[in-house]
Amino acid sequence: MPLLSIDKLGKRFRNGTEALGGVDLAVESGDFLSILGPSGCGKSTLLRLIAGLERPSAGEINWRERASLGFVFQEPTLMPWATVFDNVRLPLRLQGLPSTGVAETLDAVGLQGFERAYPRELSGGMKMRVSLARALVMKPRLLLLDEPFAALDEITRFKLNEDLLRLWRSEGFTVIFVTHSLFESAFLSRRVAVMSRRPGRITDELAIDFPGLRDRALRTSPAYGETCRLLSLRLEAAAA
Amino acid sequence: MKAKRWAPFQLGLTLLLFWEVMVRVKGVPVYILPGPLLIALTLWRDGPSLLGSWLVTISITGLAFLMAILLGGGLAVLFSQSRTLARSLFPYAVILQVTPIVSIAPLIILWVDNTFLALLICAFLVAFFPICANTTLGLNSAERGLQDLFRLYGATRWQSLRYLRAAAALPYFLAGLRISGGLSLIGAVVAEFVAGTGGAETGLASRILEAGHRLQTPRLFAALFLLAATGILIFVGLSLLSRRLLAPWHESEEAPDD
Repeated sequence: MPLLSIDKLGKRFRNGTEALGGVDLAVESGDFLSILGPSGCGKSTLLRLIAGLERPSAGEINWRERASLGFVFQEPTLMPWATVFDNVRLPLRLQGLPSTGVAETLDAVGLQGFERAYPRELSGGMKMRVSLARALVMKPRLLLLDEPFAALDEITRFKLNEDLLRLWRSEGFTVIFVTHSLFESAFLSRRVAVMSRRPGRITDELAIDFPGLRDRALRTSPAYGETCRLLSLRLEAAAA
Repeated sequence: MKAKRWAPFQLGLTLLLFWEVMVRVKGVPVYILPGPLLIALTLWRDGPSLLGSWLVTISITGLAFLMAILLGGGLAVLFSQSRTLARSLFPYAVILQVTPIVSIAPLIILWVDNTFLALLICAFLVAFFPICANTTLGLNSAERGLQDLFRLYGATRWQSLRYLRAAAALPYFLAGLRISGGLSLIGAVVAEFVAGTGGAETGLASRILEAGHRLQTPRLFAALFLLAATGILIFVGLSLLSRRLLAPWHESEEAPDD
C-alpha cells in the first residue's frame, strides 16, 4: 500500500475558481515524485491539500499512516527578525521539543557558520537552504516542495538540486516536488506526474530511470536530453 | 559625514545669533520678543520655580503614555484575536480619535474632580489611538506563508501571537510609540490649557498662561523651551529604542551604503 493515495480530489475556491478537477495519484514510500504542469494549473493547491493547509471540496486523501511533514514554499518564508538558527529551530520550538539536531541539519544543507546570520544578510540560494533545513529539522517522512528553486539563478539551482538529491538518498524521506520546469523534474525525479491546465488533473505519468548517479555529468548526457524531449512532448499534450 | 551631522546645530546657532542681533538692533521690547540670551538667563533664574510644574507635566505625559501603551497594545492584541470584537469596537476608537481633545476636555474636567486625573485622561485619549491602530495593523501583517507554516506545525494561538504576530508587529508598534510619545505631551499641555487651572500643583501650560497674562514673555519662552526640550527627548529616546530593537533585521534601520 502506498504512503498516500489521492482519490478524485477536487478543489473549488469560494470565488468559484475550480483549481483541481479530480486528481488521482498514489505516492510510494521513498519515492521522488515531481508534479509538472503549467503555471496556474493547481499544482500548488494540490500540495496545500496534501499538507492539510486547505480542505478538499471533493474526493479524499488516504494515508497509510499519518506521516510527519516538511514543507518548502515558493518563497523562503523566513522570519526576518530571527537568526538562521532560530528560523530552523522553529518547528521544534512549536512542538515543544529541544533544539537538538539543529546544528546537524544546518551542516547537512551547507549552512555551517551562518547560525547567527539574519535572513537579510543571505543570498536567495542561502535563504532557500535555511527554508530547506527548517523543513528537514523534524526529520519528516514526507517532504513537500512547492517550486522552491524557481526564483534562483541556474547555477544556484543546479547546486541545490544536487544537494536535495544527496539529502534524499541519505535521509530516505519521500518527496513530492512541484515544478513548472521539465528540466528540473527530469533531473530530480524517479517519477513525473504531468498536470493539465486548470481545473488540474493528472493526465500523464512517466517513470524516469537513469543508470548511475545523478550528478553534474547527467545534465549534458544524451539520456537526459532524450528524457527532456519526451517530457516536453507530454507537457505540451497535457497543456493542449 | 561629520559636517552633515553638525549642520543642524550650525544652522540653529546662526539663527539664534541673528535673533539676538535683530532684537538688539531694532530695540524690540522684551515683552514682545526677548533675545535668546535673556531667555537663557531667565531659564537659569526661574528654572527652580518652573521645575515643579515641569515635573507635573512630565508625570502626566509619562503616565498617559504608559496607559496608552498598556491599553492600546492590549486592545490591539484583543482585536487581532477576534475579528468581531475588532469590527464592533474599532469605530468607537476612531470616534474618540477624530473628536478634538479640546472639545472633550471640558467635560472630562467637569466629571473628574481630581485635576491631575482629568488631565491624565485627556492626554491618554490623545496618545492612545496611534499605538492601538498601528499595533493592530502590525499584528495582522504577518506574512501569509509564515502563518501557514505555523499552522502546519500545529502552533497554538498563543504561540502564533508570541513568536509570529508580536514580532511582525514590533516595527509598527514602535512607529506608534514615536507618534504617541509626542502626542502624550501635547495632550497633557492642551488639556491643561483648557482646564485653565492655577495653583502650584499644575504643569508648564499653566505657567505659560500665567506668564502670558503678566507679560513675562522671557519666562513664557523659558517654559516653552522646557516643553520643546521634553518633546525632543521623548522623540530621541524612542528613536534610539526603535533602532536598538530593529537594527539587526528590519529594513528601516539598515545602514545606508554611502
